[in-house]
Amino acid sequence: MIRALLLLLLLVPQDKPVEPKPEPKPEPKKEAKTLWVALVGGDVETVTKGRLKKATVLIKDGKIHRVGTEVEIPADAVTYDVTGKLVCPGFVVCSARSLGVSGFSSSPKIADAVDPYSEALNLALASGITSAYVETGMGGGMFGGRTSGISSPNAVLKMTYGDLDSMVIAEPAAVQLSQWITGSATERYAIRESFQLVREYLEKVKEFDARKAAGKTAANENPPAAPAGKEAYVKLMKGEIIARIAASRADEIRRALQLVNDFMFKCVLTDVDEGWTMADEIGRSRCWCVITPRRKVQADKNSNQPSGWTIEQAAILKKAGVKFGITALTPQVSTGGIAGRDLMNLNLEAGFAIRGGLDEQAALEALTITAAEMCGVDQRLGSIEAGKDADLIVLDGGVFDYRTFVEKTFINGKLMYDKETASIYNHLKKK
Amino acid sequence: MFLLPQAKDELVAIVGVRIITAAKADFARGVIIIKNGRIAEIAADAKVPDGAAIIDGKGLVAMPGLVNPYSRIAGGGGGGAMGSNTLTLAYDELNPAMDVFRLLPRTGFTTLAIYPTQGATSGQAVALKPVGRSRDSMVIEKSSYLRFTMDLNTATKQQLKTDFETGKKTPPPKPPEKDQPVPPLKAEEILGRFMRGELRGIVETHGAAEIAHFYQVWKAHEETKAGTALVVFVDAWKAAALLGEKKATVLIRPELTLQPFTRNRINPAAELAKAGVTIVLLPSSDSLAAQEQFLFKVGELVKTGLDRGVAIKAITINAATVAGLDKRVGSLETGKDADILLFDGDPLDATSRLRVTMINGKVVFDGRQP
Repeated sequence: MIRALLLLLLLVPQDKPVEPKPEPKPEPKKEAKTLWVALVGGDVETVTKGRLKKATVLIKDGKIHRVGTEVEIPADAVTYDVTGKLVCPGFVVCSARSLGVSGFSSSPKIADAVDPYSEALNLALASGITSAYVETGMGGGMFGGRTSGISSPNAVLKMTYGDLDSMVIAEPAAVQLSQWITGSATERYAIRESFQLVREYLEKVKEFDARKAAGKTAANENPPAAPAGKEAYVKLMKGEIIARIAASRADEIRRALQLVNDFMFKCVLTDVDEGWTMADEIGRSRCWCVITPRRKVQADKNSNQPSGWTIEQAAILKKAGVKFGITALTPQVSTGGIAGRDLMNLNLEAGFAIRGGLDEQAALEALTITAAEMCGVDQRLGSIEAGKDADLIVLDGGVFDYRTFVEKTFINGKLMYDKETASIYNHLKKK
Repeated sequence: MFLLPQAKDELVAIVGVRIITAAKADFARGVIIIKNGRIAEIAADAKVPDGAAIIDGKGLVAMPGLVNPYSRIAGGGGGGAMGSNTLTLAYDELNPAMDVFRLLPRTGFTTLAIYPTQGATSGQAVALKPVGRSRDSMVIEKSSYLRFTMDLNTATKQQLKTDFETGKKTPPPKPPEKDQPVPPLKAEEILGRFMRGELRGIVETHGAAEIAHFYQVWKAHEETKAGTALVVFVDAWKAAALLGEKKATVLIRPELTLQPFTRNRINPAAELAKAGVTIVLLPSSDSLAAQEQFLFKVGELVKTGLDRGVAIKAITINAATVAGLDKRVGSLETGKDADILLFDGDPLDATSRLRVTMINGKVVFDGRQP
């Protein structure tokens, strides 16, 4: 008995202070020097917090550190004097096709097919574009055919010429559901059935979680199994990813909204032309729209509803509280010639919306923060705020002035385009 | 003039010739002694052994035979970048009866490596000299290097990743038991040889983007001893900084290209060399005409900015190195195969004519038109 007690005593951990083991010395790290960049003296269009006159944007290691009129600049900062210029967030293209992706690729993952040496990137940079939602393959929308699966490859790309590792910031960025409009009855049925299966699954999960919390689950009971191959739908219904449906005409929009309303997922309607005829419905479904203000579609003479295009679509959508992004007639950057209708004049595409009655602030948002929101990257892009990526453009005039040139484009605080030294636009002097 | 008299021990001496060695210093006037098909001595002044057949090199320029390390001249192209075909041998598809091999010596090419075409890992290239009429007389290395293809595609990148990983974790094969035959290497053992640097690799890319994607895949293996070279497209100058940083060796066609959106000429090979990249120049295509025009094209690159010394190495010793053949061919040095070209002027000059092509110390082309 006593022996047993002694043994026990021995086993009880002693309260003796334990000699602290010498911490393994960390390898002498190479001090990564903080890289400061400052844009000084320009008017700063933050988009979300108004315009600051003669302000400074201070960038620390590629992220916006501080913005304001009384920002102290570290002595070792690389400083750009942009007095008299306008500093804006880089434009985010809310819908583009194959921009920065190899033209020959049929890769299921865009990350494996991006071309960091595409000249389209340099042209985009010279146009003020710093990132874009890009689709490849036979996606939905105006320029794609039918999709073979529910999702064609898509990603949000930064225009980091020469730097492959920085290009892809989100993939996939959306679930392409345009088949809901273009697909056969069977294909549409498959989409609806998938949503239905996932809805039932999520309800079962909810019920299981409730029982588990109340301690009423059996010991060997497993959580409900997710339906196979429906991961994208699960994400959609959990609100973790945004859907895209190409819907130009009112009947297509109506059909898209029906699905959105039935299953309550986040959705971007692309190629929207007759959105103005049902702006309130779109607003109620909280869908974003991708529009091209100057694209014309004829009114349907046989319809007893309003139809066709109007230059006022953007203004009407805004009034109904619908958020929208703007893209070009040809959502690409043409390297083969001068297209005049591609993304190189994105700001002027928005100018057409202003012609139709939209205010400039809303037009600017359509090119920046709203576009970022539609791509699910508004935490990083779309406005000049501390903590966001330093993707900035320096303009020599107003954003919507047709004479304005981009003077400098920065991505992650790095100067990617400089009109002074680049070959693109370098020879053109401001009128 | 160049038909050799019979010589004892196959002794040949080329005397009084200007020599481009492609390895060490050149000789304004020198002697090359050839014994049994190899270079026995090369010097400014060497005693010509008794009984040697003598070639008077006065007014001639000697240089190493040209090496094309990446050729499909024997025909057959195509093939995709899918799958792993490590065990495929280009040797198996070699047809020694093809007329092109008879015609090659007059172009100055004395060594070729022919690569297999199919798959992300396509198989092993065969190295040969255009001599004789049989595979045995021609082939100098059955497994010259492993050929890969890069493609902007998830499947290809994944395949390459898998193959490199497989090679890395495969140990060298155990030596066979006494008196047992050496078993042929398995696919993973071939990949192992490549990753250990025992077998070279050549990766075909089709644009600057693929260079960046290759290095994304290769990042995990940069510390290995594996020797890789990249076949690159003329737009590779855009990736010069990246290639320079990686101390890459590239195989590139001797073409000029245009700066984007302009008609300004760019010399991609010169840009890459400036960035610290090791250059190998390939003929513009696999046609016999492209082999014939090769030196003229190289001359154009030199005219437009490529260092001449770099250019000479790029068509001889560097080309031999990427195919794993540098111990035998690619330069004029003691102990190497006597694959020698004699020109009547600067080999890169359009006015110069090839007078003699010698392979393994034997004259296989004597400058006469057929």
